[in-house]
Amino acid sequence: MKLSALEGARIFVVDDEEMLAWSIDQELTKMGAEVMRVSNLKDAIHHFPSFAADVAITDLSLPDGNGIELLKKWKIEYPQIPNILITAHPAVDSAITALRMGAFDYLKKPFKMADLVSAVQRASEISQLRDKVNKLTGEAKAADSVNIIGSSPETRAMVDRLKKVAASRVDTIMVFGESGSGKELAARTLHVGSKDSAKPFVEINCASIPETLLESELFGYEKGAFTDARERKLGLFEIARGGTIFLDEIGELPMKLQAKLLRVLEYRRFKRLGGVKDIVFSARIVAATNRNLAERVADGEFRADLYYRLNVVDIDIPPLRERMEDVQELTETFLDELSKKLQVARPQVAASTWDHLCSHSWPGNIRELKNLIQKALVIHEPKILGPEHLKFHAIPQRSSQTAPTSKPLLTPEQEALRAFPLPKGGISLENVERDFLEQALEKAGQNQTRAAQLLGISRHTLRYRLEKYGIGTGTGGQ
Amino acid sequence: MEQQDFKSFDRSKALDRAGGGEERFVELLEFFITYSVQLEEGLEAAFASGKISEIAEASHKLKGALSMVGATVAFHRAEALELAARSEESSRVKALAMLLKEDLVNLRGECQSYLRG
Repeated sequence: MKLSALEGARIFVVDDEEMLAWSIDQELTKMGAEVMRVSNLKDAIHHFPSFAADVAITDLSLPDGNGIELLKKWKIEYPQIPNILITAHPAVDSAITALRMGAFDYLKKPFKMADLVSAVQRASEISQLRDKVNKLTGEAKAADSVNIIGSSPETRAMVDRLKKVAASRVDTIMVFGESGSGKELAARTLHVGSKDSAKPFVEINCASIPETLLESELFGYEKGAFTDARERKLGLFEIARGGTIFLDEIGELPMKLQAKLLRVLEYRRFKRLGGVKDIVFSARIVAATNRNLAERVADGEFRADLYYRLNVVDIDIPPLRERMEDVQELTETFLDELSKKLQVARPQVAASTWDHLCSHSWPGNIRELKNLIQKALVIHEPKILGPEHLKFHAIPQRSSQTAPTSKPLLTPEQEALRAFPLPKGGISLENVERDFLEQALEKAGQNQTRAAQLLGISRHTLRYRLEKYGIGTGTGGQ
Repeated sequence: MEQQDFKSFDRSKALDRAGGGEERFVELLEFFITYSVQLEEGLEAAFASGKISEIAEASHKLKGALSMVGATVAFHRAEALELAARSEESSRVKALAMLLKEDLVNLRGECQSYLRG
């Protein structure tokens, strides 16, 4: 068997014989495996769940207990992970006894390292086969588990793009969308539809964790790396193990970490904090933001090189106000889900409710709609859901210190719109839209990205509308 | 030192157990020099405690380390000590422990000579 058979395999070793454990570590690491070794039962129980092992090697005689406990426990909790028993324990005098205890294979001490390596390679192959089966099962279920609600052209186009990108081999994807528009769901869809859907999906919100903690959450640390590092901790890049890492609110990533992330993405390897060994990773990165990253790059707040490295393929999640056709379907779905969850009767929806819901601009997007429905169910428990149950939160206007009769302050955009009063005879909204699309393209030198920015819509929505009105294609905005 | 002058260790057995080549073997010997001192101190502490089960445990660990470097004679001595301790043969335990300590001193000396080349 080729040495590469253990490339990237994760091997967990439980043995208190330090020279043997060290030798196993040296040999398997040389073959490309990632090895974690512990010397007692307590540490084994503590570290095993987070290590995400492909194969375990366990000695039966441990200073604080019997390895048989581990075998039995892991056989139930992690039946997919093969466990190789190594022992000179007189209670295990044959392979049959060992296999009855739940071992995948059995080596009597002292053994040749080559024999152990063969056993590990066989176990690793079994582990990989199980992963493949899980993956195929996962793919079969994928179509059902991806549940992006909505039939509007914008949503259908977005789902199509998500599926195409998910199935591709692209390893970094940017998701753009306003807060509450469903960026996390998009990331999960990308994971579920990927070839590595059986592997972990791990996520972190870059804005919610202090910089120092964020680095260790992403890359992990070695024991003793800093004062409180009492034991080794694995970071998300390691835990993901070839799955998907979702970096939410990437625009908030501190500059220092931006530089580190760029290096990690370039070389596809990293070191734990305080560590010397390079760890290879193969996970797909999905980064999301509700900020205009290009603007942050222009302002010097986000590295341009990282922006381009992440933005290999982009997905635009249209805001809810641009896909109002989805409001009814979303509402019906949320009513089904939430009434079940909250154990209240599922109300009917009054006809006037649809107009009410479609009159709102949904600054909080789908999350706002869901919360509004949940609130209505909890507070009113209506038999028929009407507009009176669905009060929108007004976004506070900037308070004026002058007379209360003074006009509310208008944004520059609102001021600009007032310059186009509606003619007495009315006007065709479609013509207005077409005209604005053409104006935007002209101002943007036919660059679709810039034209979309001028109109405050996603590039995807712009494309859809250009097609709708049969307006010629531009440069694509790249 | 030539391979044939290396008396107390079975080099090929050590390489079978630990895998790797000459570089690994050298590292293994370096590991053994320091680790065997720790294990010997553990054996002394076990004697000081007067608990025969601890002596059995300490000799079991020494047996494992000696097996790794292919120190066959010392390995069998540690094995005999462990068995004697488990069957509580006090006088045999003391005699075997003395001999094992001598083995360890000699082994470390031989390791150092080998490493000095």
